[in-house]
Amino acid sequence: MFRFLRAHGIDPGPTQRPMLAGALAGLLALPPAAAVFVGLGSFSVTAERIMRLPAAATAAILVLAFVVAGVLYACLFRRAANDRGGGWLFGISFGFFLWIAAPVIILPLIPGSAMAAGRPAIGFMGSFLVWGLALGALFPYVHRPLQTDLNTRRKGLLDRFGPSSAVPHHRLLRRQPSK
Amino acid sequence: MIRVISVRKALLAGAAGAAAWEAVLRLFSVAGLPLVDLVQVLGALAVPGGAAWAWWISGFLMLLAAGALWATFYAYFVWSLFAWRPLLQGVAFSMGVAVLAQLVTYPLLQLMHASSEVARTGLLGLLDEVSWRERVGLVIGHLVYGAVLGALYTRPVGGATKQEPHPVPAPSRPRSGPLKTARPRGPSSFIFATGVECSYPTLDGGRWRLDQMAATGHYRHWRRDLELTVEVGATHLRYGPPLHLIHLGPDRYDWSFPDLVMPAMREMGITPIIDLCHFGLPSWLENFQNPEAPEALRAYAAAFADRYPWVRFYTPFNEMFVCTKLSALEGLWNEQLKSERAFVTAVRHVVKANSLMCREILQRRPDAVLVNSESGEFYQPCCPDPHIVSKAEFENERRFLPLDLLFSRPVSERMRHHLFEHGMPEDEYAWFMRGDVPRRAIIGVDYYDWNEKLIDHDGEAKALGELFGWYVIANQYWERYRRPMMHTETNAMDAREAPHWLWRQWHNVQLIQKAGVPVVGFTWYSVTDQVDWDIAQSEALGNVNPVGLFDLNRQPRAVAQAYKHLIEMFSDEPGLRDCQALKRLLT
Repeated sequence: MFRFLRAHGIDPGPTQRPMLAGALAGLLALPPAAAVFVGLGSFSVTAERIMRLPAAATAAILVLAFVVAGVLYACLFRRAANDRGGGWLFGISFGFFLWIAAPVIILPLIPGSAMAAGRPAIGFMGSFLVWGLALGALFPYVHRPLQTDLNTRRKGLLDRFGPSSAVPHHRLLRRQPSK
Repeated sequence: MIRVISVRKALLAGAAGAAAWEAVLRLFSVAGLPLVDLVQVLGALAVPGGAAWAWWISGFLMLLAAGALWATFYAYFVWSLFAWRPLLQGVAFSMGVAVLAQLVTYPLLQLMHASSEVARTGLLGLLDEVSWRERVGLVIGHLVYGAVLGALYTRPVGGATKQEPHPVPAPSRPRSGPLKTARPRGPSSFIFATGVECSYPTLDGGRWRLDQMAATGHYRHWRRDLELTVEVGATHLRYGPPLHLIHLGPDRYDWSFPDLVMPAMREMGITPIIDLCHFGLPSWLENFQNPEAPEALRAYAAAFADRYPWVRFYTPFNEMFVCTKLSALEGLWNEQLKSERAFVTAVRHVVKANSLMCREILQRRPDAVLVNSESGEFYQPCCPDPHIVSKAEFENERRFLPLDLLFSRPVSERMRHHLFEHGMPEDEYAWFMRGDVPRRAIIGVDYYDWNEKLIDHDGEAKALGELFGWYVIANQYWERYRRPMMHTETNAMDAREAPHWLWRQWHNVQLIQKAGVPVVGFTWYSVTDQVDWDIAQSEALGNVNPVGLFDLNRQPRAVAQAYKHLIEMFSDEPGLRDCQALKRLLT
């Protein structure tokens, strides 16, 4: 599947900075998600009964986690994340899979493996979906101003795209015998 | 973007699937066999403790929304991954979702109904609380959903021909500011071109049209596509206004779309090479078996040249050989026939149309340059078996047939016999041989990774990859016609390989020019990615082929930077800044 995606041109273009855009979009997508998370009581349950940390520390960890998740989104979707038409779908799918990954992958790592239930559980699902939706929808708009233009020659790019790229990659990689 | 989807179709198919789910499982319940009531599970989350009608409405709406969302996911990520019937694809997808529902989603939804805020049970504990009836219900519900989704979500790109002409969508960002303009170059500077992919063949017995300009978003983003052409430094743009949307009937034309694009192109300093017919006909003309097609295309060429008298470069008929072969011999497009007689008929009509179009253009614009773009093909016999060798020889002659007739070059005895045997009247052949060949005619040789073919032991043609290369193949066309040459199309299906392919094609052009062949231009085709060319547009699947300088989000690919670099590096080189071959052609 990944080879299929790569061959279909999912690699970022020469002017793109997807990781930075992912981190920023992940951060910018937080306020609406936080509103759901706090509003349905998920935050207090997470801080007090699941993570058992002060609210500030819990908030800091969650913000960091979602910034990292934004970078992960950019790594996964790469070029496709710039799709203004489909970005919302990629984002909400990513948010959905993060939500279902939480009880399978993340929660078992926590001793006691407590899970949110009732209204806070709805808050968990809602906030992941809202965050993903906002992340995917914002990403193309966040990324555009971060990109360089075609005239910018970044270091190393000419080796990859310039005249010497006429040589097949496997020959470029082969070492010459030392004299 | 790896796939062009129809969001409207996906949402409708998903909602319909969800509605079918509810209908089937409600029937089970009414029949006294309640399995799982997902509408209640969802509705009770939105309206806890509410009346039955309240939770049913809210739950049903949530189910519809979830169905629509999953369907959009299916459309982007799963549709057409496997060459199965659409219904099976939908069912296979929904079984994956069913597993997810059994293991994670449904238990987590149930957890949301708990009265406490925290559950001490792990996921495995939750799984135990899902009954076998619920499990069976989830499988049945997903089966129904997947079957409906798969049956309804088909052909995400293109449109029904009976609904043509459909209105062209307005540009997404109409601008009033100044347009980007191309760097001025001398009129005889070497042509560095790109193109907008504009094929519009019909499929499914003429009922469905795959319009590349629609599928790639060009109608909406045409202004951006012109800007990208300028940005990359191309001097010329191969451009085919949508014949099927313009030529509405005898003496009936709708110029609204080209009237937007053509003046902008002119203002931006892009020289268009206008494709008048690109693999399809308006639905009222049906297909290339229609003997009225040449006359209709003649009238269209005359009307186009009258309306845009400043256009000098034309490709009256793009890739005649490919068009006739795929329409009448391989049964993929338009008439979808598979017979030698249908092929010869299509060739007769197509070449006649081309010839008549050339005359009309030259009457109005005597200095017009005709770029006869053709697919550069070659067939290699796999072995000395006389049958295989003979087949390869025949195919190697057939590849030239449309150009031979257009340029009034007598074909071999064998080919002539073949033409007469399959319906070409002798006086028509004589008409072709009496043709007046325009002086300013270029042979454009398109070349891709699959153009060289091996005739294998079974007599089947298999793509060989780059065996001899453009230099050798183009040289065969040069030796045959002795006309100025141009590399009029190339690209690579694997985006990572594109810069590699670009530079290699360019070196072929350089070498043939050094060998004394008058080459006037080079083309990376196209500005943006294309759709479904990996299956020769035989179906409307919507899969994106990453061959463009820019992707369908109009974001540059590596090859855009490589092509820009190539143009900057070579355009001012002696012999290219003032290309003598082009100069002779233009004066």
